Amino acid sequence: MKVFPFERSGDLMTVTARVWGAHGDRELLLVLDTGAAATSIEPAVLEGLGYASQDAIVRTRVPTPAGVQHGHLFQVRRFHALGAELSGFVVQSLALADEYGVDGLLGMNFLERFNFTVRPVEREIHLEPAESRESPPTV
Amino acid sequence: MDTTPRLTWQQIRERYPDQWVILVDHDWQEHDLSRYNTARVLACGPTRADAVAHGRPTLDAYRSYGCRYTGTIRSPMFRLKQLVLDP
Repeated sequence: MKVFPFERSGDLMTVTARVWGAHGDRELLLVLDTGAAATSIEPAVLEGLGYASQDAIVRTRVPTPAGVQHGHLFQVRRFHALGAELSGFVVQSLALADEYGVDGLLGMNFLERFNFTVRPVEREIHLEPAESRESPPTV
Repeated sequence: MDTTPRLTWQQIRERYPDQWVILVDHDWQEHDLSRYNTARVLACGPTRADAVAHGRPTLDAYRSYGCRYTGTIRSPMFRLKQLVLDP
């Protein structure tokens, strides 16, 4: 079991993360969002790292209360959050606008790799990699 | 190039309230590569684009940096998920 602190900003839970590309790496502030299927990152961040739309796996459409937003899925070289480093991780390039104050969302395609407990009072996330679960005792 | 002092995130928020700041020279933690103790502020601005513009051309020499907002995150998108009680 690993324990990581998170920040509360307003009503949101945010964690720092890091993404790498051909042109270096960027620090990210991501909202922990169990309602988001995909981890999303601001397009400007990914473009600055060298990810171009022609490198996208597929285009995406995200219905929001404000209308449909278009994005792209990219396989990033390296991604690090909550102590886990993933290579070839798939993220969505999706614009959130400055007013959000964050670089994106940490979604379920990352979180589903763990069993996790969010402890808001302690501002901690307790993480257990899914593959490290102990097998049930045999009888 | 490294003329600004090393600051913790808390110190950065106090010195640059409600600004977007370009952070460089992070001392990343060995056991968690997405967390750091201190960084230097290269530039700041009222928007992300302004902060990046103020950081240039020096910023182009950095392969690793971050652009963070020091204020409270407020988001219409996320607020839409909140409950509003009818009077």
